[in-house]
Amino acid sequence: MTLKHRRVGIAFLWVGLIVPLAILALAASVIAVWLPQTPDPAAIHWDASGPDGFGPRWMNLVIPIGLGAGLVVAFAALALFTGRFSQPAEGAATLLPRSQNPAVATRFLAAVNLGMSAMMALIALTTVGVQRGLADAHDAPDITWAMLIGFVVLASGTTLGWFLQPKSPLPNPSAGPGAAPLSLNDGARAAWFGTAVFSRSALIILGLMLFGSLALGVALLAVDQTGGWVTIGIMLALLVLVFFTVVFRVRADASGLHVRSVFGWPRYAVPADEIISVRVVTVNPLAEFGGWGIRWGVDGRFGIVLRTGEGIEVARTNGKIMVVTIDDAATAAAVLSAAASATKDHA
Amino acid sequence: MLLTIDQNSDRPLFEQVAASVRASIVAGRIFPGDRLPSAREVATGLGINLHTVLRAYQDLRDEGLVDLRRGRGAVVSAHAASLTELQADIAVLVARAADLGLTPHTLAALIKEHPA
Repeated sequence: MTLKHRRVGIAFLWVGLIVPLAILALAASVIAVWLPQTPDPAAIHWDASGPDGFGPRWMNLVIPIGLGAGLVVAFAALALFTGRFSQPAEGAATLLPRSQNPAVATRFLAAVNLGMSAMMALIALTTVGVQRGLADAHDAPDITWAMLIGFVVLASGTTLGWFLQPKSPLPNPSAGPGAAPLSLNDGARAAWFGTAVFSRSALIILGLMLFGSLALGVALLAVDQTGGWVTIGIMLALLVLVFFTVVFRVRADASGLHVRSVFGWPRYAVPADEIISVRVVTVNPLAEFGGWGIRWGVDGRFGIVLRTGEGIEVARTNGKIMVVTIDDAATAAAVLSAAASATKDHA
Repeated sequence: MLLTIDQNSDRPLFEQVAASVRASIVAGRIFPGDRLPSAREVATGLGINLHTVLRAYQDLRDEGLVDLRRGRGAVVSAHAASLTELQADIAVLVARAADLGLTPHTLAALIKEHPA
């Protein structure tokens, strides 16, 4: 384990586990002091107009703090496991993500833990704090404001947690030699054109999940207006995003790699002079990237991974790696490799 | 689909682009119904004029190898499949010509002169 990896690990432990649990513990001890001053039964649930659920007052301590601590531990475990399990680069893909470094996902989960624990602590403190000295829990005030502040705390805590951690170590390219450059005569130019298309089965799975969630959101409307609309809104936004990423036009030429949605956006480019090496790889989006579409792999690689099968992996001078699933990847890789070495010859 | 051109060649660029597309069809790398990259995309990729590519695509349409449709771009025609069928015969003919000391260039000239 290098010094850099150890620094990442220590930062993860503090930001993702120790500080979040300490925040929750602090909130729990304050609440424990406050609890005897609150009515029993106490208000344990609110709707937009005020309290609408009541129960034994200890629930206001156990539920938010227990839920918060449980999520913190679960996320931390998830982050550690995704970072720890390594998998041979060659051979059949397994369900485990291929990763050597605790990378972007780990850093993000740790950051979320910080924001989420602060939000849970705030909400727990508010629900108990506003009931101190009340004789009847029905008199408890509206706490919508605390929920709104809670979301701000979640967002800012997560952002803070992200930047408190050092940059994740850069991803490693796949094993194996880079693609040999296409041999071209002097004065010859080559360009490769291809298409990356969402696999039909992946699209069906995604579609079913999204429409299922959409139906759930509609059903939720009858019970909880806000929750229902939020669910519907998020699912519609996801549907639009998927729609924009179904077909990409891919071009490899002397200037580099260009990947563009048929709708013109989103688009990505890797200039030839920033290409270190190009490899033909076999991509398993679910195992390596956690799903299909525009993805960051748990090992830090960035991918437009729309189906299982062959693709190209481009390592850049800035240490980043881009993966695109395309047919005839070998030809595309050869063109890019030639373009990259041409820029080096000129330099 | 790979397209190559050689700027040092005497052949006009539009002919080279058309030949490159034809080679892809013959080699079975693209099939009837496949959509060719847009002329603009090809022009940017090869660093040549848009009209050069359009000219190449029009020539391919005149040969019946692609259909040009407004809004759909250039699509490899069903007729193009016959080109793939010829592939094996061409390979045999070229090899036979080489045995006899004939270059593909001479062979092409002979084929052009051959009464259809």
